[in-house]
Amino acid sequence: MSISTERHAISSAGIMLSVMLALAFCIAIGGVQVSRREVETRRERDRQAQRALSSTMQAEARKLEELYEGHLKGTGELLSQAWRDRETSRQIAQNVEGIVRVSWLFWKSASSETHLNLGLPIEPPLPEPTLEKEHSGLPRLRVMLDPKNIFADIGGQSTSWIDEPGKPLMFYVQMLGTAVVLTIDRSVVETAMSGHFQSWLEQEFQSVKQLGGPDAVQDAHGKNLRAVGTIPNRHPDVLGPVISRFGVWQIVSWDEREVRATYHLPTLVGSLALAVLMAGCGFGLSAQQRRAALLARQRVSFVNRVSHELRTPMTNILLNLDVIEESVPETATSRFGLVREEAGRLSRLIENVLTFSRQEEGRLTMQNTPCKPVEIVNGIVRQFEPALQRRGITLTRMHEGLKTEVMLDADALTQITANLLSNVEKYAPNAPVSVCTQQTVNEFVLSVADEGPGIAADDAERIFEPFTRLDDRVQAGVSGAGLGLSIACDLAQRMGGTLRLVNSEKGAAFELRLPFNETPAS
Amino acid sequence: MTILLADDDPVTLESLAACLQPEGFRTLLARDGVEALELWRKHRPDLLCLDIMMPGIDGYEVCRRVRAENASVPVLFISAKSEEIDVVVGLRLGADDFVRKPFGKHELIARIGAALRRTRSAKSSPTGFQLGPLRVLPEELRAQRDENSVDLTPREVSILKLLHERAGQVLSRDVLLDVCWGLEYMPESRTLDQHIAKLRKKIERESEEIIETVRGVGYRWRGQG
Repeated sequence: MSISTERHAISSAGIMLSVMLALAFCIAIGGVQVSRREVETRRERDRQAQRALSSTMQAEARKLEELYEGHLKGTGELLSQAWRDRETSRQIAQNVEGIVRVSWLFWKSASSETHLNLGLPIEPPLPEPTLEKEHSGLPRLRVMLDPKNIFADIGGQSTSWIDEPGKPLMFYVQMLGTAVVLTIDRSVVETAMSGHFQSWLEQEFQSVKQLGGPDAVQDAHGKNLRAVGTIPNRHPDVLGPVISRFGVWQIVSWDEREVRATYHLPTLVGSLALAVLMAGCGFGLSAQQRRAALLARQRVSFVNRVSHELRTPMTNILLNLDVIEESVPETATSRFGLVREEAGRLSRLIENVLTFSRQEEGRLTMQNTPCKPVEIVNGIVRQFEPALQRRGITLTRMHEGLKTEVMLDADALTQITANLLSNVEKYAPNAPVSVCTQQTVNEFVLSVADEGPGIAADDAERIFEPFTRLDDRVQAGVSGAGLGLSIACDLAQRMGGTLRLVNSEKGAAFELRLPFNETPAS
Repeated sequence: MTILLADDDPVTLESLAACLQPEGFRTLLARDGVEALELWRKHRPDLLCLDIMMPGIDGYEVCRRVRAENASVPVLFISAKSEEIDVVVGLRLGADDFVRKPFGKHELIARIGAALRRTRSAKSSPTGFQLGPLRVLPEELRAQRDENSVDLTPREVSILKLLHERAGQVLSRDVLLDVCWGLEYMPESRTLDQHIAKLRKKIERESEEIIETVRGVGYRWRGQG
């Protein structure tokens, strides 16, 4: 595993762990929710006081009804005498709340009925009480009353309520063949009674209030006349109705409720076990990935350290080879050349391994310095000449254009050139090779073309991948780590240029293009 | 041309000296930073080659102190450390170049020459002498021929200088060795021939003879051009 992939592995290990933990959390929460059951326990309260209040209030309602009925009776008697005087009738009728119309019905009279509406017209209009089977005049909404009932005691006095479904509430007083029918608006009387209860309860509700509730007395519309305790937002557990002709009031009461959560054990245990398993797998896999990444880092670090340590003795070898070069006896010149080439090969290998380590650790950067690229290439070509000659490779060197100093990473160009020539040495024995350079004001181009066996089209894609070596050549006994072209290509890209395998009639041809914008300060 | 070499590895130090001395460089050797600073203050060398990791005072610190006293003397770091940060720190401290190990003699001499040239050409306009088609610039350790520049070692410069001063005269081997190598130095006879051969390879083109061999006596520059 490389360092870049190792970093990727560390971040993906973190992501994977997070996903697994999130999943485990969801499973645990889901399991708890699914296994949870809510059991509600109701504790019934002692309601003696509420029942007593209900009875008292019912008695009070009856008392109020009787009182009202008494008023209506007296008013009806007065109105039976005053039917000709409308204004007096109005004044008499308005003394009692709830009367919306006064109707006079006559037993065998020339005009059988007279109506007096009080207040504003009501919508929808109230049907008028009548005795006529066939009405005269304009069509109107009527309520047929049975004269046999109303005038049963024609010689005396009779009173009664007419409270039938589908009809307005009416009360009549009949005296000597004249019946005064009072049409009553129930809601007005109900409101008046609610108003009375409001003040009446101030005293009477105390006994319930002491219990602390939650209890309330409500009108027919659910409005609280009196309440104690926190009224829950649910239907009451007990209703104590107070029923009257004019409306219904109720004493409502709630029991204490206790909600207790229980869990379905198999579901809960199963889901939690699954969550723990999931989290455990997450930690395990993540730790494994991190361990692998750490091992990779240690391996690269070790390679890096060893390569560094090799540099100083390598320098000493190279320097001392240079020192003794001139005093090597003729007979040993060729052996000396071999030693020198192998030392060069070894130092290139060290350099490639170090560069690869730095690439993998993401620490490889370019350092531009003033240099003459043509001279760098020439220097490398000179180093390779003896080795190329020995392998029967004829080298042609050409240059076009400028030879001036430019700003480039000299070490990187050296490494790229050496890697390209090293490939020629390995793979194109006994073949001509041409090393051509071209320098313009903003670009340096190096072409290395050999006439060796070349590279098959299928392999062209992967030759720039690290550790790639072409199989048939391994069998041919060619050594190498498979890093040269990969490093050369990467270095070229880091320098803002390209290294490509270009089409050639014979053999392999590589073209390096390096742009440069800066020129060294003069 | 005096170069101060500082490295805690005695083999490297000795090898560096062995590479540079035959090329005409005078070397001062320091095994640590303290010794390097002492030698710098005592001899004021023309260039410093410093290793980074040294006991006592490291190469960075030596560079910092030298720069505080002299802003123009060329300083080269030679190190097995090659991370970008090492190079950047070195260059920010005022070093002229960073030579990564491993390197050979020729690379080192080329880098030394380049550092000297940059420093000296920045200081003054080049002075030199004409030797046939060559314009020899001793201060910059190079010769210019048309657009091409040839790197030279101090020894090669002194050979060309002597040939120029005694144009038309045949210089015997003894004279060349005495003047260019010094009386105290006893090189082998073939050392001179090897140097001349290398020099010719550098400065002469095909079928050209700037340095003429006078059989049995020595060498001569005819002085034409």
